[in-house]
Amino acid sequence: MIVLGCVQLETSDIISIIETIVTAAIGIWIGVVVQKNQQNNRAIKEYFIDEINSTNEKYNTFFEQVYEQQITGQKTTEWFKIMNNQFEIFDLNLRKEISINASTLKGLHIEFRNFLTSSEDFNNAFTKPGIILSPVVKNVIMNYQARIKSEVVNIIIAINKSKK
Amino acid sequence: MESKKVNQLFVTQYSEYPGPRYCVQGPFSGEDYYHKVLNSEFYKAITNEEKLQINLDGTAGYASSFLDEALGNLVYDFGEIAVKNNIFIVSEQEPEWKEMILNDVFNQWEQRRKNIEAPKKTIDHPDHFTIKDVKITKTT
Repeated sequence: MIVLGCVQLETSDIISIIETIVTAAIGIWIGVVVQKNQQNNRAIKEYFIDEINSTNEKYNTFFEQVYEQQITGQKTTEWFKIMNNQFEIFDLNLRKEISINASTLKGLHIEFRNFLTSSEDFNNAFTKPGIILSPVVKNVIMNYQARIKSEVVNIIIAINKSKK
Repeated sequence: MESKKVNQLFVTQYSEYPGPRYCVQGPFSGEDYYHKVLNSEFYKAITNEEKLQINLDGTAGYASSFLDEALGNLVYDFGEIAVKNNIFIVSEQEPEWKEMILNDVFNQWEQRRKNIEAPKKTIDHPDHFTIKDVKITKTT
């Protein structure tokens, strides 16, 4: 038994007090750590969502330039290579951090690149100030644009849904 | 078994900005690369019993038509087996090019070779090497 002023504490009381303090401390600690983890995870997800949105913007700009004949053949092949490299890094980091892959989007990018750069329209206009595409080719490109947009949305959803 | 010596060929030595498919479409085309560089380099490699390593890295980027025309002509003139046995492709920056060449280009051009669908020549080229009746000959 412990006497504190006029308060008498039995051993069992002391144990209860200590138990309450320890339980509260553990609860607070878990709350802080879990919250911090959740904040970190949210920050990681938002980073990747920002990245994929940025990619989407770059694609939108590229499509506009193609439709408006504002990009040359040379610049087109350079753009495809730069984007290919960016996809590679994005996919690698996404798999590492959130266990999601962007391989479908990358596959679409490659397919689109091969279609456009093998087309006769593209090659015939390679040295012109802007590549001139027939309506048939433009229609196929619009289809690629829709598929790529759709895949970007799928990735954003997958990121948000991921457990991490 | 002695391994063959490897002769390295970098596309960047030809151009850092590979162009379109045909010569008439623009400079540094696949057609031009084949006739100016690849045909004779491959001929040298097989006559010297060497392997030819074609390195695609370091350029500003490719049109798929450039690679299709350049490597496709090689298959048309020498056959898929001879080409596969004597070259290897390096493409670390964009590995998909290697896949496209090995899986699509070689198959399609071997079929063209069997069907005798000759490649287009948009300008006059000097004589080049081909395999005809298991012999290497020079042809126009």
